[in-house]
Amino acid sequence: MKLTTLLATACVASLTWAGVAAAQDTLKLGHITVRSGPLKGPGEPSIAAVDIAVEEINAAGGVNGKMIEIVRFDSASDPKQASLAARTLAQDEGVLAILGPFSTGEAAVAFNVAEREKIVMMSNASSAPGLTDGKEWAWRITEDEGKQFARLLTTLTEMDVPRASAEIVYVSDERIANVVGTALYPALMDAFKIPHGEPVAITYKSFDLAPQLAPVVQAAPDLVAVAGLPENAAKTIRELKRQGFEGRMIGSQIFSDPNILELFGDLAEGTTFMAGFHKDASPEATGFNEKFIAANAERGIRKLGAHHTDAQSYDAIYLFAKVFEEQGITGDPANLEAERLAIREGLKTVTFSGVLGQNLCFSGNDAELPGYVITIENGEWTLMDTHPADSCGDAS
Amino acid sequence: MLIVQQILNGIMLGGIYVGVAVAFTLTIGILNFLNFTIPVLFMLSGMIGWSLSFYGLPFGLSEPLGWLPSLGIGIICAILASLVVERFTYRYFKAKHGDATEHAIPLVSSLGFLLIFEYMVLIAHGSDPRGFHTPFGDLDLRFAGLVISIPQILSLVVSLAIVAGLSMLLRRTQLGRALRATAENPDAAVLMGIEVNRIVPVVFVLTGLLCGLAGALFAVNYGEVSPYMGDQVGTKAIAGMVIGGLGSVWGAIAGGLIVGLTETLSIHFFGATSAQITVWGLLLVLLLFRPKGLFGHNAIGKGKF
Repeated sequence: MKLTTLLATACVASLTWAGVAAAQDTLKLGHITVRSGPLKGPGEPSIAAVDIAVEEINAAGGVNGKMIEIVRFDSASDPKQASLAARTLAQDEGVLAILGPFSTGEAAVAFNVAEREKIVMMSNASSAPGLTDGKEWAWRITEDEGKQFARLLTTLTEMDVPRASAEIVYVSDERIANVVGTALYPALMDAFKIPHGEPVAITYKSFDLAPQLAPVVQAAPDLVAVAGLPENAAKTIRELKRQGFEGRMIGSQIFSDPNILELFGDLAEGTTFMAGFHKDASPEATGFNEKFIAANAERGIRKLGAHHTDAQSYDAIYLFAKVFEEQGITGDPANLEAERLAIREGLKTVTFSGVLGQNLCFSGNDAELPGYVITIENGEWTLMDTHPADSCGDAS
Repeated sequence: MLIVQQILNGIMLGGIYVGVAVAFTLTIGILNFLNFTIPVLFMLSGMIGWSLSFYGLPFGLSEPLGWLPSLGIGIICAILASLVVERFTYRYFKAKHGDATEHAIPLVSSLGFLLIFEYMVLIAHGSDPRGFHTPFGDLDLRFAGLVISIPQILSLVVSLAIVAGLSMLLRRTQLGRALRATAENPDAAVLMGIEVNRIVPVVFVLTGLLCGLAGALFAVNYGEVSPYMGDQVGTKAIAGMVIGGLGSVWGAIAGGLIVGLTETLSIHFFGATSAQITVWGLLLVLLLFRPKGLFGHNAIGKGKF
């Protein structure tokens, strides 16, 4: 009995020591993922983007002599679960900072945990305006949907694309799509003097969009602006074309996934939207895009290219690495609170370059990123226009 | 003209609900059993059909199959899954516990099968909707500014033909008489020499066939399938069955079409988010004034068809 107790104690002690030793040997970074739920499609591939960045950094010797270690928690696309993930990573896992949560709906809830736990949380996909306002620990490496859509309308105006009238279709039960469809699109179309009808709601699980879209088609607009994830955008364009719509479907970044080429099929032709990443923007971007496609293929995920949220996830890891290096982060559990604060202070002044662009920075707590106007021509993503990132502090 | 288009859209949508509503009413009419696996049988035929047309047979046994054999195998799988449900939710408990299991246990265990089948598909293929490609391009009739989907008309016609055939089977054949006798009084049916244990699987085969066909037609109509495709159709089909009258096959048709029309007109006048309130509100109001539904009988499980 005594021997058993002794052995058990030895085992527990060795495991505990191993855990402490591991915590001191690595720089632990939390990652709130969406491996399941409605955002699995757009969110899961970004895990590969994070892994590529971590492998590259660690292969080059790590940061401050230590390897980066990723600790993951699946939010299942659920804001409550994202909140739980943030608490678990901050309290139980003792990570230095957190990449995620993914979406606007999750970030709106989980950012409150960041404030309470005093840990930097950097969302890699949430793009509703104002989400970090008044917050100190909530950051985003994403570009505002409103700014991106304004860039799109600027390009359409400059190129004199037909825009005498427009209709708006949005997914009412997806938070970012709802905000974009009911507030941003109408306001920006008003600003650009494009007459438009009342926004038309569809629901995420709607399979038959005929009744919702019949009035849209009968209005015969030049443009239909869609706010929804790629699957919903695909259903929308399919039904619009079935009913005889001959105009152009446009959108901000929400459905700008390279996989829409397959999802939309032949119907994609002429669709115009914003993307926060373009594979031909730089040699680094091209290289990342190729690695990303291959890494996801190994995991059984078919991707035709990286979405901007994937590129943002990749650059976020390099950004954290740069801040860790500049702030001399050691990962010492005894110094966790001070190092979390140092990371936050480091983000305020950092400039970074990566696959998204060069010399990027944060305005407030949101990154300033470039925008690419993409149109589908001959079944290919075709670059129509480029909008460089705003300088930091530029309110335009 | 827009309202005419919306009425047509409603009838087309109702046609999707009809097949599943008839499956529900068949099992509740004959077996007094609300079979919760019906939406997942509908989903299985669509998802298995997609899987075979995209990947081919499991373990690399074949190249991707054509859309028609894929959906055919999907329908057969729905029938087989329905028989598994019969074996383990209905027959096993009936044999083991007799009439004590009449209501709750088969119902709860069918709910278990619903979740098991759904999560098996989720594990295999994830939660994303999948495009189901058929060789049909623009198969829409256009006249006087109206658009009517030919696959949807065909789907409605096929549903009506199946129900007409089913109705004839119930009325004109020995099997139909046995089914009706079982629905009327299972104990008396046994005393009259009907082998109820051989009749019950027939009900489940018909249920699997109806759901499988409805799922296949859905895939062709909308060009898309997903692990959750049964959820919305299933709940609306239950509403259609109740509105039409529990246990009435023709009532299920009327109910399915009424639900489709109500949903479409509600979306037209009040927006997409109002549809659930309108459909279920209509159901509740109808139940207040006519609890047996439009064409239903007074007693559930007694003397239908």
